[in-house]
Amino acid sequence: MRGVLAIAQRELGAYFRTPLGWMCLGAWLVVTGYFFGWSMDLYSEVSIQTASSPFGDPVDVDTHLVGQFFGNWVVVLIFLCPALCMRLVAEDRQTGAYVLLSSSPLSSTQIVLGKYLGVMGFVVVSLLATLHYPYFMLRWAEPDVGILLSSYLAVFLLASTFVAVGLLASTLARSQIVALLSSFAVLLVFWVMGVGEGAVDAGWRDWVSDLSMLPHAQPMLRGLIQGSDLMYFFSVNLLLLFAAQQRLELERWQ
Amino acid sequence: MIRVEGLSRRFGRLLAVDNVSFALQPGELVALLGCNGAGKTTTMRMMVGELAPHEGSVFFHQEELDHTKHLLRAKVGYLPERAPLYPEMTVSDFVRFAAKIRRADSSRAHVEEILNQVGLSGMGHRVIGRLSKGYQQRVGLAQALVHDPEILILDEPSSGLDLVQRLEIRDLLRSLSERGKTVVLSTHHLQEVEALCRRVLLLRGGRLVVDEALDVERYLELHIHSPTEQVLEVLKAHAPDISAQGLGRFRCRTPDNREALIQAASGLGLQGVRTLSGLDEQFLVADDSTQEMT
Repeated sequence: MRGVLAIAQRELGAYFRTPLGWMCLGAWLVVTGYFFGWSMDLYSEVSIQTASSPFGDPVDVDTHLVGQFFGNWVVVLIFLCPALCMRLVAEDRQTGAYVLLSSSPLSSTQIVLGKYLGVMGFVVVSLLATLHYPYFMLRWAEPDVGILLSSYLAVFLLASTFVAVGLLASTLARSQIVALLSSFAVLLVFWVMGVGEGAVDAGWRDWVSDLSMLPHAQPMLRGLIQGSDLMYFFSVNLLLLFAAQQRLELERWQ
Repeated sequence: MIRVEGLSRRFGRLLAVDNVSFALQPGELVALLGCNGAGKTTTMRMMVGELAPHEGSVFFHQEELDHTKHLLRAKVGYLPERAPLYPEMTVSDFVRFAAKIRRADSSRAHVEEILNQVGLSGMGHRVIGRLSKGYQQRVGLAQALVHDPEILILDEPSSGLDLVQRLEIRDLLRSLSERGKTVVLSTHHLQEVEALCRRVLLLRGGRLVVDEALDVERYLELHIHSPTEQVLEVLKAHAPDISAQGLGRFRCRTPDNREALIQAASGLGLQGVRTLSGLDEQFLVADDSTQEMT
């Protein structure tokens, strides 16, 4: 475990020692800040319209503000996670630093876990850096705290899966750019599958819904945490990390 | 002790290492030599467990190194030709990281001790990417030493170092060998090999063609115009180990009666005399003889 934590710590530190991490964190805050402003505007507009109508129902803050706001984060994560993950193994290979790990007493599993936890550490830091948004929401409106928490859980689980995709791409690719583009392409396909499931034939709809990530996050964005969704994210993460571990192990034999 | 048995490795159709076997004892300082593409790096990568052999095995004290026994890799310190470094890290952070992943003492005192050993004392706070190549090489050496390995495998350790730094690395390797560490050294600097090693492993085309004690004796090569069958007989009277190398070349260890040999050769149409020294000559002899074998 010490080796896994050492790799995770090094990877996390590397984000803050290089411009990449600061750029990603900055971009993340700027874009989520923009979405926050946009969601607040939308919520205000709907609230004013409803207030001026004698027949209007009270505006549901959880749907019009919280749901809108966190729902947009998925798009940001599709760009952010491949950028964070592209360097994990591909860069180590390019610079020759990977030999340090492959000739160490660490197993491929430990290397993959260490890298994964390192990026997830950065994801947690990125999420912690957004805590002022729920603070403002709680100050200005009255959202359900449970929905706020489950939305954070949804974003965290989505990010963890995106990171696992990015890590696998980084183990497969020879260069960072290829890793970036390939993981971005895969995530885009999953996203399109998620948002476009309604356009699919009824026979395929369940299959597409089960496979893509977004339909498993949407209930959580509405405050509904289901065991099946948690199991989905856990299984997909496990599968992707196993594939990455197998790829590294295969490298010793190729 | 490390034992390599029947090690073979292919890259596609290329047989990079072909049935290589040898054993190294504690305290041995061995040179692994050969031309580019001879299979040195591949052999070393298999010895540290970075690459799996397609045939054969590596044993550490009777225990076979395979993918399930990755802990055995802790017995080896490895410095590849391109030092494995994270340029954005500081020297001491990097060495501490290397200690952690190798299950070694990562305390500040130990890291300082290792940095002292490789001549990096007082440089722990420096960022690796901003160091000169020579200093980066030392950081690479520090990561190979940090876990006090029994076996040290070094691929071109003095690459990029100036003369003074090279001499310091030599002293370090010598002292490690005296402390019972097995050191395998691959280098193109034959002077370094002569100065440090007592045993040479020579690879050629992936095969181990020489595994013997380093011969520092000098050799003499005589070039004789149109040699007859009697020439060899005459020369043998002065140098019993002399042998024909083809095209009028005769080679022997430099005899005590060097002048008498040359005088005898003069009467037989001597065109030139070449004195070959130490390891260079040993390579030429090995190369010629193995070529004859193949």
